Amino acid sequence: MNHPYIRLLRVGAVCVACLPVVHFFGFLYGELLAANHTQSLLTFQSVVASYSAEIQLLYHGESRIPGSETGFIPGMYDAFVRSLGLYLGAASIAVLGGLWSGLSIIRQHRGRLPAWFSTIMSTGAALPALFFASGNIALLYYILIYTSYDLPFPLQGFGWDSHLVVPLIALCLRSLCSISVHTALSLNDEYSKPHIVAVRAKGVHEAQLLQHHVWPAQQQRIIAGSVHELRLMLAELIVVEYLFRWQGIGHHFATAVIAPRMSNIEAASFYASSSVIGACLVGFLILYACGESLRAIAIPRHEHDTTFAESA
Amino acid sequence: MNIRTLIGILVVITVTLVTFFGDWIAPHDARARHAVSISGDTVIAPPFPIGTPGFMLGSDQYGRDLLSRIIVGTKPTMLTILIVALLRLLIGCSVSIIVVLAPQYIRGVLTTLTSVIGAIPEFVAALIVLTLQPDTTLAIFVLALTWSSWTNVTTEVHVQLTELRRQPFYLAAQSGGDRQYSILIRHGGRVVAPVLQRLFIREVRAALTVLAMVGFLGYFVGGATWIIVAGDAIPIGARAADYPELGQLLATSFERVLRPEALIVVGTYIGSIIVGLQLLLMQPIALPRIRPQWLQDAQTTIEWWLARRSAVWLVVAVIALGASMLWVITPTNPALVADTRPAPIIMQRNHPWAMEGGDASQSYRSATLDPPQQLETIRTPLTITSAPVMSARGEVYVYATAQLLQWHRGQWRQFPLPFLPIGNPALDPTGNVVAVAASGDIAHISPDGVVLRTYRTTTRALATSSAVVDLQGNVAVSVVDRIELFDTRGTLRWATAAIAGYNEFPPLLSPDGTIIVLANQAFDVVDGGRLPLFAGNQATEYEGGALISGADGYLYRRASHSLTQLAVEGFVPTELRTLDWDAAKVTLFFPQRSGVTAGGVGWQLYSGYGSRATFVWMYDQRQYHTTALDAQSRLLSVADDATALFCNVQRIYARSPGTAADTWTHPVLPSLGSCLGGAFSQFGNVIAYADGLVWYTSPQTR
Repeated sequence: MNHPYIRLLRVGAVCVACLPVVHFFGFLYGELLAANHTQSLLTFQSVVASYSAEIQLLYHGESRIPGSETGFIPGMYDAFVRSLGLYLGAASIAVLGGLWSGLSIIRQHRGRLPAWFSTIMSTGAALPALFFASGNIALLYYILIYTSYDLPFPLQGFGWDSHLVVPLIALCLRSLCSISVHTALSLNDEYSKPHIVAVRAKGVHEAQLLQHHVWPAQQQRIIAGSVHELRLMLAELIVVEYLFRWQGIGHHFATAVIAPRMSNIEAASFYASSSVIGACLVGFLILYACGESLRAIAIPRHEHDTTFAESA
Repeated sequence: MNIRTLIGILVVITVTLVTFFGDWIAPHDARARHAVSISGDTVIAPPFPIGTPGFMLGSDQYGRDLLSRIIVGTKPTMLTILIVALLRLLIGCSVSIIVVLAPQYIRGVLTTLTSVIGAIPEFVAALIVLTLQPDTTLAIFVLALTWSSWTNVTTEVHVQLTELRRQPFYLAAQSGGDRQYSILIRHGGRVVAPVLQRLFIREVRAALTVLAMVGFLGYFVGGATWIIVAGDAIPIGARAADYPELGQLLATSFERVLRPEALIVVGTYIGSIIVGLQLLLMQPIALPRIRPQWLQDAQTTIEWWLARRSAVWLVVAVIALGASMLWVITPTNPALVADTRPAPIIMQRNHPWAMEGGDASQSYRSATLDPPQQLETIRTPLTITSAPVMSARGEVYVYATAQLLQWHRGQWRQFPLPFLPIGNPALDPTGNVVAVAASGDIAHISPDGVVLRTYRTTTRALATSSAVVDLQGNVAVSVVDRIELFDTRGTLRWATAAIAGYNEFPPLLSPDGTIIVLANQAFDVVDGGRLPLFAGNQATEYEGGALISGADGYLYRRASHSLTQLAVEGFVPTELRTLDWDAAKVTLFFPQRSGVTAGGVGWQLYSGYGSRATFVWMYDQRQYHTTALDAQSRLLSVADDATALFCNVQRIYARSPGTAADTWTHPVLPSLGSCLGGAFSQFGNVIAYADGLVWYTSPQTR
């Protein structure tokens, strides 16, 4: 029952079971938002009636993305794929880059992490993606307005990847720093343990030491930390997509719940759209399940981490 | 103490000083607006760039010193954060202690609850609360930043307490018969106290991060009003707060993306605080031992006492919490700001215009809008393409592509037009229809369908609005960026100077017929000369004009969520009163239509394509009512008693201020097209749908 595939199936089943609940609560949130916006009365019966009408429209394929003629399901699917691309891209860079930099630094400075590394990485881990994003925007404007240089990366891609590079950098940097410092600290702890010192004294090769002794001992802790970062990255996805107008579910969600500061037709169409909010939350749940799947495969259920639930 | 900790402590000390003494340090009043900055012969208009003399970090677009706003804005931000961090510690510690002491089933419930709440990212949790509560008061912010984030503290403290319960002395005390709570009271504080310091710094940092993120998205303590400022090409809405707050500074600075200096300055300041706190977190702060032995002993005693007496921590936290709240509430709570607006003025005048043909205020002359007792649906022979008008003799005119349809004595008549008309038909005082084509052609058509005369616009070969006809029969139309006025023979009397931008709305005549307005510009009806009435008004609008004429006989200037009443005597305007509503309570889509009833009640219709619409009635002293409409609903008219009449695909309905439900509603036949508009006269009322006409009569208006 504790096989990784079984655990993966369990995560999938829980996710599927939660989908309608999350969709309904997202829809309810949208209705509350609309009721607040218009200062009107909202009753449970009216919400249920609206929700059933929404489900029927979705079932018959008659629902449309607000403000456009695009079908709702194809439109949201397209947005989900965009977010998935950005999220998985940033997650891959953050996890692989973080592990690589953590491992590299621990190989070079075993026993005591250099001050510059922990300072820079901890600082980077403390700053939200918002700062990297706004820094990127300011830098781009500076380059565009005050210099004659070409941009080092394309602002327009060749399709759905347009603007991908800059939001990708903004989204992954914080998590990369965090995973890096987490990896380095974890491995450093392990390297200082007596049995590792003893094994090294016997002349075991460093690669073997890492592969057979150090990494397996800290694998669960590092993966748990990485999955935690992926969860945080999901929240930052909303801000980054919104700032860069990346047309994913994060952007749609933010446009639907945040009071538009400019009178543009898109914001007016999306604001307080219950169907969009519900669909976006479903999308977030699926992205959330991606991280949880990683945890399920890599860490046995009874050894997840020393979280509150376990310790209690 | 290493250099990182030292930097962190310096940052914290600096921020603390700025927090408590910011009002004295700031070089300018943070709310004072400076019109210009003069340096020698150079005159600089806001926003002042960085390095402007007297404005080291520049200013915002209203001429308010950015450095002063950052310094003064630190206080509400940091004290809010302080309250949030303390609350998180209190709630988190309390829950973890309850979990340790509580019976198994309560422990299970709390554990699950903590895990579920903890799974929601802080930012999302805060965003949900803030978006659901448009009143961004301090209490709402504290709630938003606290309700889900105490779980981190719970987890950490619980780990410490669990470790404590595994200690031999704990087990020994337990086996000796001591109760759990007495052991926890004796030893828990000592174990948890060292962690609390780190947790407190971490929570301050985390709360500041979230505050910055939500501020960036336009949610900040105290809220703000939305105003509309003119952009280079497209007018944009901006949110301006009076009292500064760091989140608000981020929000407003981001709107100036083409001049990102302010964004960088504010972002760097907030980032520095976060980094400083993070540096403090990296190593436990160990104060250097001081030399005199008696001071050393005193320090040791205090440390021991603080570590042992956990109840003291609680008392200190509660006192700090209360003091912080008192401090913050006084200067920042917008609700405490006195309302200094003038007293209301009772309006006496009535609207002098006839209603036929529609007027600018879209207000109905009837005292009330009673439900129809008879509803008759009359199908037009063709699909109609305009709103109807009704003549003084009860004839209804409406366009159907290149045909003019006339409803006369119970039957439809069709008259071919010499061109494809735009907008709606207009009526001149003799009952002739005035039609306008986009090509600039204007035609007068008699009730028998005879084209009496045609002429063309002159300064531009393009008309962009329906015609407006005054009581003398002069015809005015918008021509791209100006107004042209023709006399009854079709001779151009004058054309105004160009106004900014493209306009596709009909010009409006003032109630006394002396002023004609388009957007926010006013012109003399006699010669078309621009009147310097409203120069310098930066507010503009998306649809309709910034100047409107009310059914009470006054001119009104519309700016976002307010209507300013103007009495114009000899082209000199006098501001009498302002009708507005608290736009911060509701997200604004900019008003599409506005007006004032004969009774002096202002109204605005806010709507967005594909979204919901809001109708707002405005009275004096910020009294207002709102009602929610579906996006398809269209406003037909507003009666003197402020009853508003709407139509959508399914029904015609009326709403009165202060009532959530419809005053009355009447279904229309199914499968009709969208509602195009209506016309009202003493002969009856007509409401036009895209594929037919619904005519209803009301005994009150007959």
